[in-house]
Amino acid sequence: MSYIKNFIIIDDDVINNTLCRKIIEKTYEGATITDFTDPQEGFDYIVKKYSNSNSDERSILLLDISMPVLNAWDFLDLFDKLDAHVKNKVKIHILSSSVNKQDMMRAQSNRNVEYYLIKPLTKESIRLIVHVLNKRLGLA
Amino acid sequence: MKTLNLLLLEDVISDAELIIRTLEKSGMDFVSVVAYGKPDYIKAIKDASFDAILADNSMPQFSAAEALEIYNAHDLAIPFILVTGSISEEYAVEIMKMGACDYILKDRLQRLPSAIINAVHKFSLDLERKKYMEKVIANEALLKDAAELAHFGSWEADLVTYIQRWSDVQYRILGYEPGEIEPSITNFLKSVHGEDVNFVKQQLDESFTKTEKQKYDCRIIAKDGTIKYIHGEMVVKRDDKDKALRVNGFIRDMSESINAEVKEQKITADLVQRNKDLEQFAYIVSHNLRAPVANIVGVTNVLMEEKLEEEEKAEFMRALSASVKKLDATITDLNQILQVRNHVNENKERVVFADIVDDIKSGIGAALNDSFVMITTDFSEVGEMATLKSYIQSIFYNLISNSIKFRKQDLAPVIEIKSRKHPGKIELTFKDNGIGIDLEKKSNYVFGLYKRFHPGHAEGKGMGLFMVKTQVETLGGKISVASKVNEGTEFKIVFDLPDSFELE
Repeated sequence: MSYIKNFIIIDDDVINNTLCRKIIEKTYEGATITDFTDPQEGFDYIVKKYSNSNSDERSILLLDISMPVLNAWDFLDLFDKLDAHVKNKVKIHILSSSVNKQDMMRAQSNRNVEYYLIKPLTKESIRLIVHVLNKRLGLA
Repeated sequence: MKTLNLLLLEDVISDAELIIRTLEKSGMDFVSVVAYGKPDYIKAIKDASFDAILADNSMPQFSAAEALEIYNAHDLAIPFILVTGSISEEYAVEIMKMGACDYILKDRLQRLPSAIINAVHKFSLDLERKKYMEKVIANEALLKDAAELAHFGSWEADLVTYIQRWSDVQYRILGYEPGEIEPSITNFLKSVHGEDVNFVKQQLDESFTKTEKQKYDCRIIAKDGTIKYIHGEMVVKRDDKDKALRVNGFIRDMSESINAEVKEQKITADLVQRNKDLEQFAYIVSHNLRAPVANIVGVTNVLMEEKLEEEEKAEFMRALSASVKKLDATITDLNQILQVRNHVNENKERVVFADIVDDIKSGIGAALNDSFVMITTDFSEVGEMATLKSYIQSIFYNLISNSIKFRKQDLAPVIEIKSRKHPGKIELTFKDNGIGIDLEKKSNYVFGLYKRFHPGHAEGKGMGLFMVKTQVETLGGKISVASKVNEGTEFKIVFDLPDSFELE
């Protein structure tokens, strides 16, 4: 098991969240998975979890694009205003059903986004992003 | 002076010779033909062109009056001078009335040369004037044609005599027959569009303060109510003491070219809108159509590849079923949206707003009672319009059910629906006391497809307002929204009423 074992899922689609939870559980036994259908709640959770914490524990965030009230772009704007030590702890991955080039380019040009993943999430893709992150952070 | 060619009508040879001798003695440069009777006379004026006719009055077979009649019948532009023995005053007057130019008594022939020269000179002047006038008239006609072709109307106001004049085209541009109304600046200003009249007045005032042309563009409302775009110019003419004498101006009907421009802009706007629609469609396909498909792919992968407990399996089967249903619903939505724009050719009918509201009330009666909804209506200003009934039903239904869906939890929903009439327009307002929309953040998205603002309200699908907007626009209307969080929302719909919307 890699060093990163915390996963946050933000998507208003309940079925997607159930699916992601299952895929991650089957890939990494013992992973902590928290999911939100309301993006604002998810954001507040992140702020609360990391603002006053000195822990080295990082999280992988799987973020949907098309959501009511707060979509991924609004979310990323809010996220960018957070303190650097909070931002460093949360590795954002867009997980969207969209195969639209504009969406992909917009996501990839955002400095807080690691990767753009196309739904559905698979074991291979979750392994890949964890592997890449571990390697880059010198954790593997 | 050139050599004069004279026709002498004289049956007495010695008298003819006497006349010719008198003329020669005076030094006149002339040639002459002598006609001794009616046949000679007729032949002569038919065959040759003369500068003057000198006719004897005392021929037994052929009177001067008869000769004059023939002269008149030939419409000759030369003087006819009577040379006569004796003549009564009455007869002289009579013969002059018939068209003779002058008369000379035979015992005073010395007056003849100057009489001929004067008469010929007078006739040539007349001829020149006539030719000149013909030219002026032709030019004026040409100018008039040009003015009409170019939609140019001109006007003049004399500041000394207060006499004002309008050209025919000026009247026609304003929708009147020439002379139908008093040509005055006041009457012109009455035709100017209400929103432009102060501007035009200001231009008029300004033109009095300067010497160069004052140019302006404005709209006018012609007598029959059509709106025209005109370009006008005017200039104040002054005397050498700088006193304003008169104002000259013209107006030009620019409607044709401006309408063409407007049409072009409309086509461009339509194309831009189509393009946006296509982009939006691509977005919808990517997000809303592909989302359930991605779930189906993911769920079936897990079902096939993972070893699952019975309970897990059941959970995934439920997820699969829900995703398939979602996919089906999305496709149905899309179909509905794509069809909206094809329904414009449906028959328009008289739609009574109160009936529509009653239908909806009875259709969703249970929901109304459950949440104590109160719907008040005021259709006193305008109660109906000729339009597509199914669209109006859908618009009313969506706006009413939105107000119920997004009501405040602790407050009975009140929905006020009103209609108002404006010139050429019908305005409908839907006002509620619900939870409202945060327009500061979301104003761009209110009418977007699958845009939702209330995550807590599961009922919202993000389709209603999109459908409302599409239908309003298909009917040629516009919709806008005003809202405050926790205070309520008001939708305002304005329909233009062009001729095609009138009931036949």
